[in-house]
Amino acid sequence: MKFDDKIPIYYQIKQHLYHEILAGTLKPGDKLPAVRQLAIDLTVNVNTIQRALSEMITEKTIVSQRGKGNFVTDDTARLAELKEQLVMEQLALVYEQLHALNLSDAEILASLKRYIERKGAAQHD
Amino acid sequence: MTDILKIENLTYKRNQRLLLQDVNLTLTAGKIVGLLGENGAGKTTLMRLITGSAQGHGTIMVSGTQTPTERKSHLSFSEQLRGFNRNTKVAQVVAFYHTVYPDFDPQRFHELAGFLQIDVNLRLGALSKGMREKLIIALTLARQVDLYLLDEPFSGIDSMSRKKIISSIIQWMPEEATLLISDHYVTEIAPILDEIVVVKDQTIAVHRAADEIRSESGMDIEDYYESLYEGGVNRD
Amino acid sequence: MTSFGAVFKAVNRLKFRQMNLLIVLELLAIVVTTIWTAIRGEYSNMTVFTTAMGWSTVPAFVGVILIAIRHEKVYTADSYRLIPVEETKFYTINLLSSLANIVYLAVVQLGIYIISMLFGWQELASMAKDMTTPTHIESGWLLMGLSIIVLVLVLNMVFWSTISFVHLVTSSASTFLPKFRQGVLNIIVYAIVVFLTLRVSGLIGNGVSWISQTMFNNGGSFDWVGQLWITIFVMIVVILIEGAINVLCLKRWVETDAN
Repeated sequence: MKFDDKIPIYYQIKQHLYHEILAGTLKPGDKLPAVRQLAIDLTVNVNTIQRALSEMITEKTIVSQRGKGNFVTDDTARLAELKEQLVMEQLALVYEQLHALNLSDAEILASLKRYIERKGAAQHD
Repeated sequence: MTDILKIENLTYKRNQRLLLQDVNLTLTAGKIVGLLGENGAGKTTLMRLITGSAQGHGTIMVSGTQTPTERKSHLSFSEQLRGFNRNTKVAQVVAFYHTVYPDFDPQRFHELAGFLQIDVNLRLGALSKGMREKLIIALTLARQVDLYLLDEPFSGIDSMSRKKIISSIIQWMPEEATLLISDHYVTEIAPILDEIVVVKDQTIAVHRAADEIRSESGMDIEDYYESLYEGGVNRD
Repeated sequence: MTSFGAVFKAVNRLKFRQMNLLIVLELLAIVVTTIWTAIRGEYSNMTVFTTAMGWSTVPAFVGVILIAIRHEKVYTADSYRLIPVEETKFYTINLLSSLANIVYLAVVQLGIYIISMLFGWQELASMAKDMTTPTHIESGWLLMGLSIIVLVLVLNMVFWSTISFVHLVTSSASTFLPKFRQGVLNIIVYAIVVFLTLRVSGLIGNGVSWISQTMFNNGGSFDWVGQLWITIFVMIVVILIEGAINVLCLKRWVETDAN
């Protein structure tokens, strides 16, 4: 995995795991690879993985079972919340950038709608 | 947390020239620490002082022991195999390590050698630079110690070998051990570092957590490191 | 900590290989010379023995030098100095290993003599018959022979010990001297150390002859064996004094060659 060295690595690992969970690569209740294996797979330090995982455990995206390892939560409410959180983060980026182009909220909404229509049309061809 | 390395008021002079002064450094267990600095800043010297290969003034403690002999039994240094002839077979070097270091684990070496694709039947003189460096890494990591010192393991090595070496470090470093790795290309090792230590102006200018630098300064490690040298001093 | 045996094996490895190489070369030289003699038509039953005798001084001389070189290299190579072993122990083991190698070389030489004697056994046996050895000397000769063997071995050790002394003292001194003049100063330091060593050994030599003269005067008959043992004793003292200084240098100042 390639990292952006300007952003704390543990944060990028969290983002990476969130995506795997929401994209379905890691399913609810799935066991995560061992810490060292994750470190090897991502070519990062074990402590950094540890830090990312412990934050994810605190926020209950991951459940740690003593002696068994770490599992993706099967709490659908939490997963929905996570999805909402990620969607909002992405939208916030788009919103901020469009706002910076002097678009009003209505204009942003309209252009987003237009974009989706065109994209959909392109895909149907 | 236990201190793996504790250096206090270390000063080193050679040939009437001051090379390091007032060095104070404490490294705790279970860390990968990057030792950065320009060529000739004293990175190798600092490592040699820790191993006892160079002799300075001040206190150096490794895992709570102070005499060079005791320190040596708690650390593993990537020595350049100068004590061997060119026609020595790799297997003989391995046997030598197995003989002199009670903590050398042949099984670990075997795994590392397999991973790094080291051919133990070759003679030292026949190894490419990259292969020789891989051998040195495998020998160094095959010992089970508290402190690993890797001196510029990536100089003059292709990127494939570099990646292999980095992976082997992550895979084989014992959890409670600490690894000090010196390099003057920061970027390639930045993701694996917990902390960085910068040697500059004959002393330790910086000792900080890597993610703390990223979140507080918003800079990548390379930029942060270069910002320490205002005006852009030439680096190779 | 690394055990005595392990360190011994480590510092011994290359010395032992070189001794074996030397022996192979010697045997080769004996064979080639013998064949050459035969080609010239001058071969007799004694040829192998005389050839072996003729060549034997070369490996002895070269062996001592080769050991001395290996002996010094371990003090400045990280491969050896990173071994967790206390300096006094390390120094002693290195010296003992050098001694063991020269003993090994000597024993092999003896073996070569004996084997080469078998080729000319009849001639040698008849020569021995002609020689009349007074029986009363024999026990004295045995003691004398043993003393000389010990003397030669201790002499070798003084040789290596003194080379280490010069090496380690100059190495220690050079860490203090400014770099720009190091070349010149190194030579001066070498000269001083060599001069002092010669001076001290000269004084010791005088001491030995004085002691033996005193004994000679007192005893009436010249006691060769006694004098040999005094010399041996004095040389052991030299080895110990030099050893103490060498170990101190290793502990305090001597650094390994940088990467």
